[in-house]
Amino acid sequence: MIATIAQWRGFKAATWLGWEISSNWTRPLMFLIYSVLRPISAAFILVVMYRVISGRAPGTTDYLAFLVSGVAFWSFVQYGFAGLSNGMAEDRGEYRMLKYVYTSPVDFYLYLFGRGLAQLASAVASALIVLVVATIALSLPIDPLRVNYPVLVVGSVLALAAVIGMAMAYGFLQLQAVDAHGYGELGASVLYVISGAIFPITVLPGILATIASLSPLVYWMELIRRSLLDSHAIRMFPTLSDADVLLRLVVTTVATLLLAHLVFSWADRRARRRGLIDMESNW
Amino acid sequence: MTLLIVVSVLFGVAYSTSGILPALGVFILTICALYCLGMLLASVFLFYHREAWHLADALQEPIYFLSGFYFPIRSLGAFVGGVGSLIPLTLGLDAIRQLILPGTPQFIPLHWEIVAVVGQIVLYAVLSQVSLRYLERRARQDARLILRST
Repeated sequence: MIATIAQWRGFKAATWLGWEISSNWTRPLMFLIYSVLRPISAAFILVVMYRVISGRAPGTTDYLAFLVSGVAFWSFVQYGFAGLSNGMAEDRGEYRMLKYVYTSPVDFYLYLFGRGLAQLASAVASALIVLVVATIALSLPIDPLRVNYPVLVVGSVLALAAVIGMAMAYGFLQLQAVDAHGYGELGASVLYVISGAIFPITVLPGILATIASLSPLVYWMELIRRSLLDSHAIRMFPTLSDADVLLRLVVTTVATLLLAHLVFSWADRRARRRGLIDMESNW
Repeated sequence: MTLLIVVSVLFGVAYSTSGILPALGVFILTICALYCLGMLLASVFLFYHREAWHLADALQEPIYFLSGFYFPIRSLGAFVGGVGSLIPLTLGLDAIRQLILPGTPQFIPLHWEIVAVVGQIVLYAVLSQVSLRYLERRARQDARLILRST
């Protein structure tokens, strides 16, 4: 019981620390505004590009909804993946505290999970605001009263677990490099291409489409669109029912977490052997 | 430059060769104006310490949006395009596209864009000097020069 309380306290401290570091100790309202400006602009860049290319042809609204919903929820990956994996490099190089956390009684997984979860508030705010602004500005077919919230929440929780798992493994791999800052964005950009966030994965070349279909992010994006847009959703998997897509999300999430654990354990052993956790690195 | 060459070859983009030298001139003017704007904004970093870091991060995408990085600025309309024109990159990019990619939808005529960018160099240079002096004085008074901000 005492051990559980100690772990819970460690988790709470990690979440709070993650929030303070990612917000750089700014006022919450300011940070929220900054966190929202970026995804809104990113969404509108894609919308204007699409409108310029399509020339406002009829029937473009469904694809705009596809685009906006993908970009809005992408903030979860951006904050969760890039934020956490960069955070591990920052903890080691900039704040020089990774070694203390690593040797503390708090489970290292739990610490990283808390650190990653702190980004959730920014991601939720960002996704909500992009959706609301874009729905009103572009008259998208999203009706808040008809959204399938249970599927949306279950899908997002599963995807978030997969994203944090991938970020932990990727973050530990990053520690093998001396100057690892910014590699988090690089990893997130690769995921962006194969996640079906801005285009259906069927347009990808064969091998990339196969790799993409093994990622939980694709099924998450599909579930988001089905739950938000219902019959207006452009489907990446038209032959699959909602339950099938959810099942695939569960399977790929479990597989991703398993693979992430193996990579994490390997990178952890290697980091310990080579003294990478307390290595003097960038900054 | 590598990106420009590789992508142009891959996607068969054709440029007007007669426009390359004038475009280089506009590019240099735009860079000068951007540096002056950068100096103006640098003073903000002295003053707003931690929050300026996020400000710079958050402004990155809006600047991509407002300066027409990925689409002709004309498609944003006169008002939003006019606001975006306060960023020297907006008019500079539009002018460069007019010079090397004839047929690109133009925002305002080329010669007015060049005049505006030159005007921005003078304006932002003067404003940055005034602003830096003022904020440096304030920063000394408030002991912000040695504040660790990130």
